[in-house]
Amino acid sequence: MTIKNKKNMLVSLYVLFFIICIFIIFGKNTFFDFLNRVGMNGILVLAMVPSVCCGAGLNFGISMGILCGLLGGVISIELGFSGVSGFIFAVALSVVFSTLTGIGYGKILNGIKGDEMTVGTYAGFSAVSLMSIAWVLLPFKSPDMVWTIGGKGLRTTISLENSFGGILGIFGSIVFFVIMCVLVYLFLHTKTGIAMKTAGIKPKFALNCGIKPDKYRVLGITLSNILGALGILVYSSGYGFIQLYQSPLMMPFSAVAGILLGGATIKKASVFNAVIGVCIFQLLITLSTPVINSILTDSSLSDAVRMTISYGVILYALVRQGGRRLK
Amino acid sequence: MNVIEIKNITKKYGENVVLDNVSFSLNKCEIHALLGENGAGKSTLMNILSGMPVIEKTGGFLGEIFIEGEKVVINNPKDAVKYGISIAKQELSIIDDITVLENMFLNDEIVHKNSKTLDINSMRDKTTNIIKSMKCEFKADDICKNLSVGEKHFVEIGREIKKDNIKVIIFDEPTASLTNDESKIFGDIIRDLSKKGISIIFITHRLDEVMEYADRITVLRYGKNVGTFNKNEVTENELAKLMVGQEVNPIENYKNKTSNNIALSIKNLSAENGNEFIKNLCLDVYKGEIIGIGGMTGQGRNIIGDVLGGIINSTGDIFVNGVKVKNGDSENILKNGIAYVSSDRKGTGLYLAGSIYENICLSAMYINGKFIKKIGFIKFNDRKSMREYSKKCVDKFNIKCENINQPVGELSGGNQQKVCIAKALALNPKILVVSDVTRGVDIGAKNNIIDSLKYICDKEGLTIIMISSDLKELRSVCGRIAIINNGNISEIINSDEPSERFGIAMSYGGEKN
Repeated sequence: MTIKNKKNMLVSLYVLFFIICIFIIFGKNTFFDFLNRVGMNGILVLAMVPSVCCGAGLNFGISMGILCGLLGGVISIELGFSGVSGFIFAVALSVVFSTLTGIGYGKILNGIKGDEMTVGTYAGFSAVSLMSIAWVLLPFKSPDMVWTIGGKGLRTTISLENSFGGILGIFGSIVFFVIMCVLVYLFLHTKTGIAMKTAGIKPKFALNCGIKPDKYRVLGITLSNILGALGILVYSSGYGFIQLYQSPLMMPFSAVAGILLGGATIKKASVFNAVIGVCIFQLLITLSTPVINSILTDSSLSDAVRMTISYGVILYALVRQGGRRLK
Repeated sequence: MNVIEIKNITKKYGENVVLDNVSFSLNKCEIHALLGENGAGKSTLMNILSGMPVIEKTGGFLGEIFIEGEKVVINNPKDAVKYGISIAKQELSIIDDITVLENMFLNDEIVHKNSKTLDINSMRDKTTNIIKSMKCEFKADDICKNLSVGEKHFVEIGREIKKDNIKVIIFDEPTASLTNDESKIFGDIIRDLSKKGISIIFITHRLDEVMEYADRITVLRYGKNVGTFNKNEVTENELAKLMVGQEVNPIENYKNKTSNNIALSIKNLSAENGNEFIKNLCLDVYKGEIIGIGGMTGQGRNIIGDVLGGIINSTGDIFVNGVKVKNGDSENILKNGIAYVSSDRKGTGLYLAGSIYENICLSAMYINGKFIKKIGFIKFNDRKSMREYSKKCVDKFNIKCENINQPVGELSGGNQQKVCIAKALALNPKILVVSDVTRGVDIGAKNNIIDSLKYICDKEGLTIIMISSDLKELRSVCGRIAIINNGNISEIINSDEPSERFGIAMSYGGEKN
């Protein structure tokens, strides 16, 4: 067993220990809350892995994938699908959308190598704003979704009670997450996956090996985008609502914070980082509410703590990254 | 009187004795060469002299240093500057994004007397003078990232020689990344300096340079001083023997058989990269030969390698066994059987943080579909076969390493180069293009590499194109040598022809045909 595997084992044991601790200390409800959150957020965090591996850094532009997922979801509802078929249709549709936008976005990122994360953030912001206009203008008719007064434009929050809300359940979403993890892991060990990793680590070396870095960067970003779309559908399904307009704006940040907590850096990330990261991050968030509430009576503080943790972690990781020069 | 006298210095890194009771002295105005294989302790000795913090951090050293007869303690680089010792290190410490002038005067700026603002004009004059004295072509206001590696070295050398109170300048492997003609300029510079009363220590493993420039020579082997000689007391062979500790066979002249089948045909090839260019170049390479490509630096020699490796784009036609390859498409070029070992070993050739086996096998996995196990239609990589193949390579090329999982960055230059060659050969190429393959490599490994190249050409029938700045080396390995001048081939010369012909081909010819 290599040193890396031993380290991973140790970290997993620690995390497992803490999870068992919550179960014992806080009881079943908090524990299931935690599991639910892991299932909901897992794929969004996993979406960071291909983008880091292909050399584009953390995908702050994952909002684009999220928007594709939302679009797939609302179209599925509009066409009257419900239950499992609704979910599958939404997934299929959003995969198509996110592949197309991912390829386009990847090509844009190829033009601005080195600044992917900054540009990605603003690309995400502008896409969210653009779609805010689209949600109003697109000709949706379903009474479940449009504003009751006026009958035009989508609501900010759409209930999924009549369509695919909660169809995966807690364990369903976790199983879905695990399947996705295994698929990404296997992909990273195929010929294409290894070529992609090589292109990400050292583009010049990749070129010497006959691997075209630009092609594989587009592939990585596209995969990340697709996972983002799937992630938001699982998230919405678990949450019971689709949230439109400004809500996808800040979603990339919690996903980024998640994978960074799991030990990933801007240059290196693995499926293991994603799994551990989402567990630790959701553990912190799940526990912050009861802990803060028992110390202070003001309930809005737990939200502030959540913000502090997610942005603080991003800050910490990026600062630490600057201090350690990778070869 | 001795400018520097070092007595009985011992330095350990942990248990590892790097310097063992070394004594050494430097006379005024002399050029003193410090010779030794990689790991002989040359750099450590110089780090001690220049007060590098790494010495203090690893527990200091035993022994005494005298400067002009006075015992001194050098604890940090500032002390060294105070005593007039200056060092130009092997790794460049040049900032790429600022101009030559700014680099030269960084933290040493000339200011106006009253206003304390920068006196750009006098700095520019001074820089221009230094550049002129170094016979370089770049200008004071050029941005450093546009310069070639050799020119950047000259900027660094210029920064050291411009200081006023300097008594000793140490050059750590200054010519390792310089090409031959650039090293000649470097030789002139240090001779001028020594005439001005500055003593020079230069560390190198190129014997011809030692014989040409140095007044005295000290040889280090495994941390011991094995002798100090005046130049006319020793021969190159004796020095080589002292350095390695065993007889080094000079590369014997190698004649190779050539067939009449054309393996590679280049027609009207044009490309451009920075200041270098090639224009309408035509060349036929026969199957099974080792052809050399030589010439002065900056005349387009290095571009040919990058074009044949698909690293930079080009126009014109390249045919491999009659099949045309896509220009600037490294995947297509590799698939057609041209493998390229780049002269930029650390940047292009290797992934330094990766293990030896990954470096060797990645390219072959991607291009040839080796080391792959298929499960259904999905192609997974097969690490087991990668490791097995790499173990064979390590034995075959005599790569010195702990095991095949060791990161390539930890290996010495020569072993890294062997990994590069193993990587290229894993592709089963028809044509191997090697560019400056022995640059920055110690003598033992150099002979090793040359021997393996000859072996694979001889036994496995590979066609080899050897691009090198070292004409002597080319003449000892290749059958024919194409000399590049002014972006084109000025002449193709058989290696046993007299030297004058090469000299003439390098200075004339080119564009006109």
